Amino acid sequence: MTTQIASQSRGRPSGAGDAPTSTGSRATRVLGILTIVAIATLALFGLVLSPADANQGDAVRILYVHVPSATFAYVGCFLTTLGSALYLWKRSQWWELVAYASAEIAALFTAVTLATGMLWGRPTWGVYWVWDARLTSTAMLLLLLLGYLAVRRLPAEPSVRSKRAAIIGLLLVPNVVIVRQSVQWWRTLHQKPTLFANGLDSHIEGLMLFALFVGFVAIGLLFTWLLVHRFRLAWLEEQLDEQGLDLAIAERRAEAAAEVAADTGVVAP
Amino acid sequence: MELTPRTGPEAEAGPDGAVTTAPSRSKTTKSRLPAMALLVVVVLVGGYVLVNALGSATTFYRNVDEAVAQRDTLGTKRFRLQGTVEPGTDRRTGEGVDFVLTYNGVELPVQHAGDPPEMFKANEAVLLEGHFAADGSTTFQSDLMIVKHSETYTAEHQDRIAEAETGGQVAPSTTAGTGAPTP
Repeated sequence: MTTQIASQSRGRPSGAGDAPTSTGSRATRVLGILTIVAIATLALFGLVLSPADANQGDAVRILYVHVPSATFAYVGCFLTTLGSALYLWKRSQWWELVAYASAEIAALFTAVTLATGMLWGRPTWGVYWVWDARLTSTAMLLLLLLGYLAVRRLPAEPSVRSKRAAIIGLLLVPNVVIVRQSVQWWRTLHQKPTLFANGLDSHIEGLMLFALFVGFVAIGLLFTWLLVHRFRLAWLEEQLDEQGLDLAIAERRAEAAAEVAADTGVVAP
Repeated sequence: MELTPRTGPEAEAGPDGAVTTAPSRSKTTKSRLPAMALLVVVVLVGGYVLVNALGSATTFYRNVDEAVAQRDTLGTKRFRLQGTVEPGTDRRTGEGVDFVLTYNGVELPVQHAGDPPEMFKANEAVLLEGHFAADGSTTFQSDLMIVKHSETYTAEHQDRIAEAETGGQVAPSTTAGTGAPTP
């Protein structure tokens, strides 16, 4: 992710000050190493140390990726809605970029949730997909996120573009609530929540619960690492856009000055 | 004043020799089309998903007792049926499997065409897609079976009692139906 934006960001003739030239930093490198360690630990506990399920056998192991992915997709949606609200309310550019970066990561994690869910559904339910309320509302969430990203990329005045996207961003958390509650509100094929099913009591035991916990840590670290890099990339992109405009203005000014010089007869050889 | 940045041949070499180009404005108009197309696709697919959601999500399935109560109005219409597989009733047939499905103390015989999923077994909740038999009985003829597993996870090779306690978790009231006299 250490994209070399350096050669481009030197475009500003006067020197753009101390703009970062990569999305990496010491902190994110440490975070990246922790993420890799956590994912290796998850593979160890998820695939080797935790037992197979009494009913499902080894298929249960998809749970350790599926549930944390869904949870962090929700977190991403929450950040996008929060950022969108703060942009509309306070015109905070920083939060607008958080919303944008977070929506992309949330879309990725929602897609991972759907993909792992389908792979889990085939051996347990017997089908990849049914149009029950949980699956349908999750598909809607993915489409809403893609819609947000499409609108955010539509070329327009930055303020118009951000405002349009932010309005869609506000819809994400309500959709997340529908996804989350769908198994309680409607009859679904998808099972009800396992964690905190009765207060603090969870319907999962011992090493399986611990493997799920490791899954939350690993996917959470991955989410954070991706989000930080995506945010920095979005910020650098915005700097580049502004610089591009400045550069164009400077060039036109120089051209106009040269024309004036030519008209007054002070011609350079 | 025209501010359109130049493109192509005017690209200059920067102080370090790197070529710098002003971002081209014509790229903006070109990228509008795919973005709009993507938006249209998203809206269309979203509408399709929404219609599907409203159509089938609210009455995703009927429980056995509800289906039996609505026997006359359902006729031979296709619908989804949910219940628990009664222990000791499943019997392999030439084209699939026959068994008794129960929910809330009500039972009905099922004739399923096709191989049942791997997780199909007694006391497990299943979803069936099919219709009542044309002869007017409550026999349900299905051609799609989905095993509705519970949200409870327990390790394999555990105490049998612990397993039995969580086995019929989805529809706990159904197990009481076994003791009721059947006509």
